Amino acid sequence: MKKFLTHFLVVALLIGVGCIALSAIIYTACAGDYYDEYELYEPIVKQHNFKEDTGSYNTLFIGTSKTYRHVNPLQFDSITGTKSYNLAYAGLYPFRLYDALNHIMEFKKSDSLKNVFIEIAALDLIQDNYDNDIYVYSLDFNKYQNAISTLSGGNFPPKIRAKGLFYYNRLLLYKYAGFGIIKYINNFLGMDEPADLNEPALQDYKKVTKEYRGYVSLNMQFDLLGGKDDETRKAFLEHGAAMTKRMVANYPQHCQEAQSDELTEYIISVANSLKEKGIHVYFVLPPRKMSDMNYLLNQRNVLSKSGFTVFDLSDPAKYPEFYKVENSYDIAHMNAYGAFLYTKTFATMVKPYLNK
Amino acid sequence: MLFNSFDYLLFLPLVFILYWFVFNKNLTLQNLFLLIASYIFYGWWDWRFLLLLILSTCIDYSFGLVIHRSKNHKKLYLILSIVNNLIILCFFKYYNFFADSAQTLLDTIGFHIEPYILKVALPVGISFYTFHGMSYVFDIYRGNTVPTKKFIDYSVFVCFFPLLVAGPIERATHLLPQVQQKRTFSFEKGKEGIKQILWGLFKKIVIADTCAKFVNEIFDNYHAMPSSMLVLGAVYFAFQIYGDFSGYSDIALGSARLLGFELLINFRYPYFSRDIAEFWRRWHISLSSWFRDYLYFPLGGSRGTLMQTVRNTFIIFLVSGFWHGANWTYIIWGFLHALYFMPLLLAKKNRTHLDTVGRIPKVSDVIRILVTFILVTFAWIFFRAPTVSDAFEYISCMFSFKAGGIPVYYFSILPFILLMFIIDWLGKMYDYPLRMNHTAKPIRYALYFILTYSVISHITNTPNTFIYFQF
Repeated sequence: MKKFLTHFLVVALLIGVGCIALSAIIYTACAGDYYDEYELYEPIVKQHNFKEDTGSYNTLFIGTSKTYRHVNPLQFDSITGTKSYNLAYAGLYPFRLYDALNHIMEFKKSDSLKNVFIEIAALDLIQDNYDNDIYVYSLDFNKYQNAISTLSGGNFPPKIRAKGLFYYNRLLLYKYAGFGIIKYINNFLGMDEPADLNEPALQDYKKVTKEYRGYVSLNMQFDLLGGKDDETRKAFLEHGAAMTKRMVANYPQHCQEAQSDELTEYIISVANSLKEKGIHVYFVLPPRKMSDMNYLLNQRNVLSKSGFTVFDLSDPAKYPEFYKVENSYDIAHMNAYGAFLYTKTFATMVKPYLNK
Repeated sequence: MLFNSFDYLLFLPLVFILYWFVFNKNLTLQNLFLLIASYIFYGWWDWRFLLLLILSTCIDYSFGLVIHRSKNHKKLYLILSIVNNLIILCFFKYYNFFADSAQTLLDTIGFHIEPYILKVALPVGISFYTFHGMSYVFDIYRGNTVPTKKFIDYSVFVCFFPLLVAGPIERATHLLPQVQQKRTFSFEKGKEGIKQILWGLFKKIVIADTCAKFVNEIFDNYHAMPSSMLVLGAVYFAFQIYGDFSGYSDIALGSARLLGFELLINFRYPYFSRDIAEFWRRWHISLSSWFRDYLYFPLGGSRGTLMQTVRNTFIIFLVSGFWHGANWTYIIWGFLHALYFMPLLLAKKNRTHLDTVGRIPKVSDVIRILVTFILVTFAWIFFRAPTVSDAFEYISCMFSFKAGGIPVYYFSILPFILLMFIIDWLGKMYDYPLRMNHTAKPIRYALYFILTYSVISHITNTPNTFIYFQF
């Protein structure tokens, strides 16, 4: 029995090392920018549209789907007199946030950009959206190191830190042991199946994003997809009232805490350097955030204390219309009418603060 | 618990260590441990069905003892036992089918009824463990075996986790003696077990699951697909079901070997068969032999007139189809195989190919293998299609010769199918191909590495269930 176990463990170890070596060779030899662009074409199209006409915009929105699906730049501009673009992405991964911020850092004082709204919800996504192909393949040692130092050096609650460290280490192991690498290889060989990303046809999407300056409500998306409901939407149609009630009940009553962490510090430093270039940075806490609300409210307090203007529209007691079932598309998002109400409230609220 | 899940990856080593290191001193304790492990394995899906499994085990165990002791009423007890098993099976598996069919029939003659539809999920493995139980009482009735007095031993025979949910369908004469005697660990057996599990995982995760993606796309949208795609869909399904079911069987046999058991071989390279009769000696062997021993022979087998033999052949193929599921598609699948079988039976050539085709085959053998594969693949369309009308429409679209290309990504699985084919071909004289121990060590280890890496490279976040779990 001992002989068997020793033999098995030695062979397994050798095969394991072989797998890691082969994966490293494949990732090096088949390096492409496909997965660095996060696969989805939505962000690529939006970035392209924005870059095409960068000079004409003076206001920019960065964030997750809570901004992407809810802030209509055309409506916003009609209230505030700005010219804005919605550069928020669905499922914003932390690295995308870094990329977006780095992109803004490239702006000069002479450029037209004057206002940037950053959604606070993005900060907590360092733990979310981690276990998918897009994220696995876009992870490299620099990004891994960045994430690990952020998590270990920052002032995160122990649970979030432990969870984050576990995910990132598992992710690295998963990637380099070769799990799911066939998709990467097939992609490199031009034999990858079209990903089921629930994305609309590229041409339609290009047209709509251009027309609405990066804003695509979920009702528009639903039409673009040919009337196909995803699982989240199906669940909401069935249990929407109960789900909403639970979400509202879970909203924290108070949060006085204001403990910063490395990621927030990084964003603060970006915001300060933008300020030096004459670009004002504002933070927004949107409604319908379903998890880690304490953490987000804590970040809100940190940013406020650091002298930034924070627009908090998350409280269901103050903004019940953003939580009404009839204004909702699914549990995490509002429908087009909800987005209309949200943009109206948001634009009216921020108008006096805007740098024109 | 699925064999291809992370849960099983933890479960099996844990059971292995406790089984050989903690419970190895006492056979009863070891069997009790196996039984508890098997209940945990089964209860992982739905613990409520565990009660049904235990109930069914208790009943068959009791009937076994009663039949053995009875002097004058053996037959009556046998019938009662069979009826009991069939009631359980029919209630959970066939009730809705019969209710629907009765409703359709009555509707056609002008009576409308609203039958009660059972809203209960099919208990996993019900067709397998009820068949275990039936073979046990049959064998006792025939005097082929004597009942065990130890309930734990009998329960392990029925519920042994590697075979509990999708076979092989074991016989008391084969497995029960292994349960009753002390097992000793053998290095070679353990090594073979691990290799067979690896081979099973390759067939399931790499071949079956990848083919499944393409097959689902094609069968779900067959109206819009060109004919070439529909042909590819049928061929891929042939590989999917082979990879899925024989992969399951390999993992089951390998896991059992690690625990010192030898289970019945379920597959012997069926796609290398030269006619349908040979195919059925190589495909799902434990089920075919079950029907042969407990249905075909009692009906008279081939001992009667030619008409009786033809009747008996049709009966076992139809019943075999119906065993797979409560749907007319399976019955037609069985019927087609019976039709394929008929020319061989009538020409008395159904036992022509009892050997395995040579390493370098004759041209005539290659043609026979191809023809058999085409026939089998054609019948699989009925097996895969959700309804009979879908199957016929699929076939009519296939023969409409609608032009159109096949997207290149559909071919990404071909190198792996080719690899499976080559390994199967080279190892077809063994019970599973990785047993080729005479090959040079570096080649063998390189092969293990390629297979392991292929499996890892195809792993996804959510493991796919096995097709035969629904039966």
